[in-house]
Amino acid sequence: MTACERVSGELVRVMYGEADAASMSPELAAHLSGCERCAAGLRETRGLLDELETALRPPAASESALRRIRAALDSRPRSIPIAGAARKFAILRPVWSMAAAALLLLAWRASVWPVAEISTPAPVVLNTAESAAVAEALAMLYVEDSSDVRLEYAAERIDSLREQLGESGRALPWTADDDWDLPRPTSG
Amino acid sequence: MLTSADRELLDGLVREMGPRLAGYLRHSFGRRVDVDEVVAETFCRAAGNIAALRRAERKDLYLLRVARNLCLDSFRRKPVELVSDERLEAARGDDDAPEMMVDEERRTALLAAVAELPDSQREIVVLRMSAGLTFEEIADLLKMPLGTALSRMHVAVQRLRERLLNDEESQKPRRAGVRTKSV
Repeated sequence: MTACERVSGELVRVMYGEADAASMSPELAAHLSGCERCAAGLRETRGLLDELETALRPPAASESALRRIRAALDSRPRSIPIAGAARKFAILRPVWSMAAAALLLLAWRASVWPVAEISTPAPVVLNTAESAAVAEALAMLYVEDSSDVRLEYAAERIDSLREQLGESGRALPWTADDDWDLPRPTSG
Repeated sequence: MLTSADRELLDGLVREMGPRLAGYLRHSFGRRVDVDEVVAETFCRAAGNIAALRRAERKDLYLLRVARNLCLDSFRRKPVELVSDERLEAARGDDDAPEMMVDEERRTALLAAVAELPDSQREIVVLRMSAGLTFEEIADLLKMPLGTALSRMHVAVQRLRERLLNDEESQKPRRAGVRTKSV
């Protein structure tokens, strides 16, 4: 391992401000005073970072942009309506419908396990738009990089769907608070 | 239903974070997203889930995450549609060119070089230099180890250095040629 390689880790941290240049190790300080290549690398990189910061600096908020955002906040619905979700997934409707049906069946099967504790829930019948909306919410729970925001959004959608379907006497067999990795059996 | 305190919170965030979100989206995703649309939608989603926004300790990170997820979702759901040149120019028209950048040619070259970076490197450069996040915050947002964020930044910056040096080198003979002809 060369001397340059030995200090490269700390040098990179100093370059990008992750380590304080004023308190760099004696080894790195000595290396920089003797190695023009590393010293120039540090100098040039910092210069380029200054330029980058200036070039990429966000402009001050323009009044027209702020007005557009405020207008959107005033006029848009707070979440995607079911009709909107159904339109968005129109091409995949048959696939989503089957997926929703399969997931509902799995969730229902899991919810009534074991057999001894069966309290048969009424079948939940969804129309195409509703099944697309349910599938969309469920799909959000199962994407590979589900973030907190996405999960919260999915939970909000599920709650809203439960409420909406509940109004017409159709109770989904699960809630947003369920343990989605392992659905709990119903207690009675 | 938004309370007046919620409206006040959103208004402050729109003013403070609107330009930062726009800068992040524009430099990270370029023509693949309609920046104004995504920024507006980000705030609408935040308003729609105001309890989560109120709870978020770092509201800037929360909004950046929402904006990023909106973009990634849209890329998954439909083939990428590039924003037209007219719309891109119109969006850029809102920007005031930074006053401190003396050399506009250099700035243009730098932005072009940033735009050509691989996605995974460009986003880190933009989050650090435009959105002003620390590497720890970037690592948290992009769900990667701190060391990965730092090393990708380093690789990206070294690429930019090389690219700018090459540009300068390739322009030298051309400029010399122009001077020779004009004599």
